[in-house]
Amino acid sequence: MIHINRIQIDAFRGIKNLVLEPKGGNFGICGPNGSGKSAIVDAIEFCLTGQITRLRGRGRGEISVEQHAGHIDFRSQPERSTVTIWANVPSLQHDITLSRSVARPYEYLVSPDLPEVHKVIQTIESHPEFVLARREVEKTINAIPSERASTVQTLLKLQRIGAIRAGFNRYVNSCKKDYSESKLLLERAHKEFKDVLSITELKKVEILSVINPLRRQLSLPDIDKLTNKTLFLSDNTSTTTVSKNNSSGTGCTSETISEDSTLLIRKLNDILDNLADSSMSLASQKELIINQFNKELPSIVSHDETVSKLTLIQDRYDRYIDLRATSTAKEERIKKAEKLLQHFESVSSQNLDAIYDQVAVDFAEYYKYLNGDEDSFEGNLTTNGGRVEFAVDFHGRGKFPAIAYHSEGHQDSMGLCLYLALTKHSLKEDFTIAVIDDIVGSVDVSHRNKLCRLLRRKFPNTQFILTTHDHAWYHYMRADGLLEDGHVFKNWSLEEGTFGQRDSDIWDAIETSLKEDDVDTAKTLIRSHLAHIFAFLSDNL
Amino acid sequence: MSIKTPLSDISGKILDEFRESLMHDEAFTRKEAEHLDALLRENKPLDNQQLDEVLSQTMK
Repeated sequence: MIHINRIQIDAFRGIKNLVLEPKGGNFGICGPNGSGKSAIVDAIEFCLTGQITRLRGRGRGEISVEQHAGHIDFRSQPERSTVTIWANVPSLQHDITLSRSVARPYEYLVSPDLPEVHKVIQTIESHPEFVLARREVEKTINAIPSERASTVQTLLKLQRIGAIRAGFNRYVNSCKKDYSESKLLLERAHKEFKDVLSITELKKVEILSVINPLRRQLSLPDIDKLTNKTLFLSDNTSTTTVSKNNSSGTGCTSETISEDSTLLIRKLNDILDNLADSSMSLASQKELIINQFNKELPSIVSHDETVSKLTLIQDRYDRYIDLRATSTAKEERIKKAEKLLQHFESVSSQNLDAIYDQVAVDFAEYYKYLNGDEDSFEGNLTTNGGRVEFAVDFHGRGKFPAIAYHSEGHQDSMGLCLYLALTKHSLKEDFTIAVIDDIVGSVDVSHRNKLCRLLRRKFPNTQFILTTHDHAWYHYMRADGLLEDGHVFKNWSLEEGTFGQRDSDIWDAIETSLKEDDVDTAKTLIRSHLAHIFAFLSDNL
Repeated sequence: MSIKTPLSDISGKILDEFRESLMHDEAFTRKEAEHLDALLRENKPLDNQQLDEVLSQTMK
């Protein structure tokens, strides 16, 4: 990554024109609320990544960089809203110039135009976490565990892992829903099959006790087993299928018609044979024939009814068998989907817990650095499904969520420590720049020297650009030597933008005031500066 | 220039181990594990239908 030497901002957010020169070192930006501090943070983020985190997120759907990042008076000329950064890339030993226009936020111009320089810019673009604002701290410390997981995963570039886990979860839920629908259909088919058989339980014995008598009526052999392919109107050994006598539909084969005709002819022959020797009158013979047919006809009708009944049973049996197979397959699919999720959670939890353990060690070390009175302090980051639990020690009484007992000031410093630990783990030697927006203002006087020491000693290769509205705190960081240079804003107006100046050497400023015969300002500057000096010396006794 | 997020080292390691873990489970075939691995590395949203297709592999 980079160290920033110079920043030029034109017609961007509330700034008309501004040049800052951090010269690769730690740089402070101080000013009252609304004086343009956060606009500088936005400008740095925009130039390096093409994005502004502050303009994204929940409730910001109608806000975009293209539409709203430029100065309000230049909305119709977004190409004039630009930010240019001159920087050094330590890993390449190169100085580069990078600029971006609000008109085309996802395009940048970089010089020198070398592949290795583009690679550095792409690395920065994919690590927007070098900017930390108060809202980011709230996301890690105060958020509910599932939202914290998202923030932590973003910091560690683990979004894909979170997305895969969510995808597997969706798949499991979809499989369960699918199975539940097919189970309902199966239950209905089960009931309909029982109803058509008029039995109470679908047991093989009971089913066959209904089927076989019907088959016997059709001169078909009994069935002793049921398979997925069992045909109730077939002898199950040949392709012959029994059909209705008057059927003209499918299943009515020439063999069945032939069998039924033979039956009728045989019956007629039997009647005529009996009449052959009879001396009955023609009328009596006619009556006898009709009576005989009336007597035989029910068996022919009964044949049709049996075929219809077995056809209906077959339909319901086939549907039940199909749905049972589908339902079983869907149940198996759930098991497989759940196993998939289990494997993924197991592997990702093992890996993430190992990372979080390391992050937690660094976090606790930084926090103890700030709060020497809590030597036994420990923090835990643990995964729990898609959640990241964050619990911290409270004076040896156990571990609790950070917001449970700790003060807001402590929560802020926890947020900063967790951010530093996570970013260090994520970027490693590329953690060369951090832009921290008004996050350390809530650190009280007694912890200020420790925070300065933490940043100087633990992150000697990281350039910090820190904003604060607190002049005392700003001067403390200057006196401590944490900030090598800075810019102090006094005011802001829509027409002119920011009013401020480079924070020149205090004695130069006093001398200038005296030369201008402005003794009051010189007195105020001396008094204020000496107050900071003595506060700093006292803290470091 | 578009912003592209490459798979981080940690994510790659987790996916490697996940594939191995599936291969050691009899419920999954080698083909399923390999196809799933390729699908997960595509860095696209996971689709239920794609998962269905991948998990219907039968060759071990």
